[in-house]
Amino acid sequence: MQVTPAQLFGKKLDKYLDMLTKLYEISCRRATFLASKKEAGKTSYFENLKLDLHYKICEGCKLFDNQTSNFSKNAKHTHNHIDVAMKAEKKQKIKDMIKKLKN
Amino acid sequence: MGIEKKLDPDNWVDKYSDELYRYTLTRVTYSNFAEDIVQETFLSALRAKDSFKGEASEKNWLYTICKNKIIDHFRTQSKNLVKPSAAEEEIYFDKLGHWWEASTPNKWGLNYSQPIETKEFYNSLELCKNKLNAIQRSIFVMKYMEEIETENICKILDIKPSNYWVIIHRCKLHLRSCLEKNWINI
Repeated sequence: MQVTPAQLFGKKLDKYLDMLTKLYEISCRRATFLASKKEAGKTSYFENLKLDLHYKICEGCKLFDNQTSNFSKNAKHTHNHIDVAMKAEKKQKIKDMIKKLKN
Repeated sequence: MGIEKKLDPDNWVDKYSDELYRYTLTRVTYSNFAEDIVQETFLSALRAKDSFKGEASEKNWLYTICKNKIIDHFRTQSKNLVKPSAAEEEIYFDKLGHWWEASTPNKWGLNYSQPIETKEFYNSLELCKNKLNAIQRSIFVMKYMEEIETENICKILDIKPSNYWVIIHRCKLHLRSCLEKNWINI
């Protein structure tokens, strides 16, 4: 017959697990805040551990991390994907200024 | 003579003004700022043409000057920026710090490690980025588009690191939520 840890240790184990959970538990607000700090390498070992544990139980925060990293990484390419040009009059004005400055 | 061969200021506007303008506009948001920065890039380059050693290409040299002008712009702008307001996060989290049901991130059905190539994404990102307040936008641009270190961003904007982390958090919360509505259409 298998004996569960709870049967073996009784209420004491529940109490310890509870304490442990409280120690490692962070809110979603805190987890999403820490995500940016972790990305910049500014989190402690303990904070990383809390974050990893949070991701195991919270799909929303895991999604937040993946999605924000993804669009943030791509943002620097925006200028290659939009169609805008400088106004012709402005270009002419700058050309004139360059000509004037050169002489 | 060597310098004359490599720099060709008469053709700068035709060759580079549109791409420098696009680059700048996606970073400083307003066309009048972007136009002025491109103009100043060319004029400064011309004034400094003797310092051009030909180590970089003419184009890369102009980009370097332009990027410096963009940072100068943020430094100047930072004097008018409003300090972060209290508790913007409450749009997304309840009192215990859990996601509100309506704010919980949804699956986007994407491979998040892959680059995004669609025009729709970049147009939505522009729209969402422009909805941020000025300081949030400045920080996002410097961190993710100009890839400047946190410590330098704080120096340029004259803010404390603790404020920086609060702002970048809000910035991502707003952008993610806005992109989910406008790009993914959830």
